[in-house]
Amino acid sequence: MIRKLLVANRGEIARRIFRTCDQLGIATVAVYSHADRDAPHVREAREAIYIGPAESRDSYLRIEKILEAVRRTGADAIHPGYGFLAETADFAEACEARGLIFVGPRADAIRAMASKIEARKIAKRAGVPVVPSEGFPLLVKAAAGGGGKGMRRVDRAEDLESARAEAAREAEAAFGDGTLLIERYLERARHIEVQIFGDLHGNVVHLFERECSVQRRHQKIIEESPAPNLSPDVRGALCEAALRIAREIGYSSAGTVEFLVTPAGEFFFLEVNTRIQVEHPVTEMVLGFDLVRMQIEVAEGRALPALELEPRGHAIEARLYAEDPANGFLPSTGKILAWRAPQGVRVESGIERETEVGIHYDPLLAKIIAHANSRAKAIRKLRWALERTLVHGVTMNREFLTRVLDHPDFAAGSVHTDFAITYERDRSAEAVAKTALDAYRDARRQATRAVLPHVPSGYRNNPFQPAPPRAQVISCDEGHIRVEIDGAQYSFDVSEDASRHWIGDFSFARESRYPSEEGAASEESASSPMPGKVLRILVEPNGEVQPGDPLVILEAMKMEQTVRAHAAGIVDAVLVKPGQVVAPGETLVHVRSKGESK
Amino acid sequence: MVDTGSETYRANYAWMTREIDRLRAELKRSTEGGGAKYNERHKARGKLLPRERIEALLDEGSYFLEIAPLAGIGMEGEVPGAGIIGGIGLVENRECLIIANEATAKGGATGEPGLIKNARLADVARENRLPTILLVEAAGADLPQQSKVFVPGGRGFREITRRSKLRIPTISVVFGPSTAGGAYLPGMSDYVVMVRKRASVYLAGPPLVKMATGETADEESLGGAEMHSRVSGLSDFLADSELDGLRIAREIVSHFNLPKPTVEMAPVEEPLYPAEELLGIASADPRVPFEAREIIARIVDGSRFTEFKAQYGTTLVTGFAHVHGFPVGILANNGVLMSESAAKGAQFIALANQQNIPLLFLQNITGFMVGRSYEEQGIIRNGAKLINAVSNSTVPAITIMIGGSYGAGNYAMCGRAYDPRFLFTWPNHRIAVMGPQQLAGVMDIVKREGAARQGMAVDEEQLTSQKKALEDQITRESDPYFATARVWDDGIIDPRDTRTVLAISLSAALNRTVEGTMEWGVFRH
Repeated sequence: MIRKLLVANRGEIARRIFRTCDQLGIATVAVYSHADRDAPHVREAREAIYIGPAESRDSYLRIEKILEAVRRTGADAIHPGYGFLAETADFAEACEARGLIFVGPRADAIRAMASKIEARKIAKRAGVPVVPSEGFPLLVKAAAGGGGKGMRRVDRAEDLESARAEAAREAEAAFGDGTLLIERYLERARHIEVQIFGDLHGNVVHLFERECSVQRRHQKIIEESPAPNLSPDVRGALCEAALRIAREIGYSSAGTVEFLVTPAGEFFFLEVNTRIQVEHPVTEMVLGFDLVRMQIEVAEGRALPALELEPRGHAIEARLYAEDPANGFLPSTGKILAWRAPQGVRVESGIERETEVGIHYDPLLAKIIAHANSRAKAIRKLRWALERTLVHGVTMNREFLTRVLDHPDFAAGSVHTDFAITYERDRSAEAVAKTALDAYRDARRQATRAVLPHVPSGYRNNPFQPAPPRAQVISCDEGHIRVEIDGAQYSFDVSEDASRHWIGDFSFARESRYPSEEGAASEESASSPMPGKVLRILVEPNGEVQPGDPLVILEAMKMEQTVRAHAAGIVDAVLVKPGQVVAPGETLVHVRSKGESK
Repeated sequence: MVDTGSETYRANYAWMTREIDRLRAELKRSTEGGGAKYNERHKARGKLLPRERIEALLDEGSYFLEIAPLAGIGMEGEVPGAGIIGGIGLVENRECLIIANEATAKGGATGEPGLIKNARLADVARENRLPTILLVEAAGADLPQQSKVFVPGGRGFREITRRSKLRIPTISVVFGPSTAGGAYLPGMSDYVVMVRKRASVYLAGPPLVKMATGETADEESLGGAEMHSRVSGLSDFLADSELDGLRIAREIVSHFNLPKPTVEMAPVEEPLYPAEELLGIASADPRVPFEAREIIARIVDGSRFTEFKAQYGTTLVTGFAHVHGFPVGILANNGVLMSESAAKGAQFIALANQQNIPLLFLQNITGFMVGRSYEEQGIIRNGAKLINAVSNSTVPAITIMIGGSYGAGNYAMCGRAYDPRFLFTWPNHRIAVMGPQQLAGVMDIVKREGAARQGMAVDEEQLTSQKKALEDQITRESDPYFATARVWDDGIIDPRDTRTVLAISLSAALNRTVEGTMEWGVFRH
């Protein structure tokens, strides 16, 4: 029996594992990096141990620091979550060696599947077809990888080398292993995976499939179960193939066997993920049980019960990311200013108000999972939930997700991994938000004004410029406004930080009414503060200077006076010579700011 | 109750609406500076128009109550706003008086109306203890008018330093030339901000220097912002641009330590009756009286008015109310002033002083009652009581002329000569020693009596035409535009804005501690 479990992870998955532990009565230990000192997962664990700086390789990826945290807290089990050390065989092995319970598969299973090359061999042995490795287009990917990192599509032979080089660099950086795997890129294929589960007594079951075809940059964003429009024959064959592979390696704990399924119904083995998946909640929702609990119980040695499984209804998950869909899905960072999870659906989140979303970790903000008795109803529910989700402080992909849900191909269940929508910000909605923001700022300024808050905003007895049209404010409190614009009412949540205002789905840069002070110093020259004699000149023409650098030393009033640079720049000209007597205000050195031309 | 369907209401409303249109047209003209051509030239030099400078200086969403925007209108050598824009607005949440030279009109040179307006603005700053921000770009005196402006013009500089002594700071932001006498605007100020490559401040420009001493010097070396910031020390802050200068001015204000005195405030409530109805209530014809309480009900918080001595001296309504939460004691004419109403007014003013309550005068007065029995009852004696009280009262007073302002009624109801802190008028307002027909009629009688004494026959035709001419002259001189041109008031306002204008005025006035007096001149009982 496990008494105390350490989660070697962070964010939503750490919180989700702690929740199950709380239900089981297992004490919990969180680990955290410098960046996560105030993260929700840290506060929710009974104990929390610092494991190093923000960079993953110095904290969450450091096996010895995790083991040290185990020693300090007396934890008897480790759950690795997903990512980080979840599929590092050495970690599982180190745990096993110390007599710790590793809530995951055995180290040898991890090792066997860690290399995609090795995994292909096992699949072949198990009689499962693998993706052919010849012909174009090709997909170059990291053998050790996951999450789309180190992945490149190559359409022409001449591009192969550069793609290999790039992918290898990325793989090396992300996984510490630049080994690549090259497979045919199967066009219009669907990504379908089968959840498998094994115990330590040789029992293996499958828990049906998940469809994960909607991806961006090879990263899943919407997952569902069951897969739509999948014939019972193909579904049965997929599940059977997954079981064969699981048996081949004697798999224990939760895992996922991924396949590509062509429009013709052919399927090919892709890889095995030897961990709990990000998208495991959709399986939980249709089956009605807790996969993490099963993981823990199996790790404790319990045999899998005889399960009569029948998926009920349809579950669909959307991943809310801090990223900008209008700008190549670039990750967005910042402090969460407002966060409101929708009601009536399952939400797994790693954020709260004030959480910093930084550059060091996956930008996943939350997973939102809807379950209903049909696919159409689940989609409708998820869409409703997304519309009611509020995140301010970072740019997110929420609108993008709802557009995917609205897409006829998605509704028809006919999407594949090449599915992409062209996304542009909704300009008319943006204009409404801007109008509402102006009204909000105005109303708040009025309400908080110390002097005459009830005098109409911008009152003029002699108007000079026409007053800008304002939305009709129905109600306005801090952080919220309801307005009427062009005969329609809208409610918005509003947040602000030092640089931006956030309203509804949009954010707008704060505009300064005055030029910035930084710009002001750009054309500074150095001049003498008082009458004196030049003692020494410390710079030469074309030399680079930083603010505060000494330029000239004067002798004045029997004292040495150092004249320093006001701003960074290049010395354009030195206008004085040593020994020269200078007048107050006389320019001594011309410094040109770097951007400025001569 | 006001019958908004009545003939009178509708006629008044229609008339007032036309008058407001005229007011708006005149005001619009006052904002156009030197006209499109000069404005464009000004902007082409990369400069902000004076009104743009004010907008950029004010807090976002701040009000701006312009003082005497139509000064000089219709007068000889008229320039919009008499060449100056001045008003009260918020800078860093602090009430400030902002004065900008109308640089596009005659280069911002000051004539006689400008001088009068400047003097009035200096009063506003001193009386209400308002920090002052001068947005300077001025050619100095209007040289052809020098005989009118040179000698009295000195006052402006004197006022800046007297305010300084009273701890009422002045900031000058110099955007352009500020030369000769104008150089003393920054010279006398407590804080000086000069805009790089724009400001030029010197006693004598290059031509005059060449004439006087033979020295050749350019504008920048004679009085540029760099020179004054690095060498002469006249400038305290060197701004990179106009906007930067305004930003610096705001920053300076943010460091002031001048806490506003407090008064007991009530929760702010809108009146129960719409301000719109003021347009139909106020009479188009100054000879037709209207109910003062209907005006009060559309100005004060919650339309709540605690009337004092309601049954006594009924031609003067007195009582307590709040405007935007500020306490006020109101005196409003409701007919001709009688002995009782005058005495009641004096008593009420004394009460307001005892309680440090600001006063609001709603002036609509044809004068004191005349006639033998009224003289016998001591109408002069009682009127003198009221004038004594108004003269010696030390609580801030604000006067709104909502109708006629004739005769000694103007004095007793705190006309300009009695130094109310602010005085605004409605478009239906008329001001003169008496009504035009009355005055012409009096002169007619005087002439006839004179002729009779000398035994001369009257030339009826001549007398009629003289009477007509005089009546026309007085009508013209009683006009609100004639008055506002001479800064007899602080501006004509849309009656619907009365509550707002009053609130801004009251709040400004309360920057100086209210200290009501208990000392009065000898009352003649």
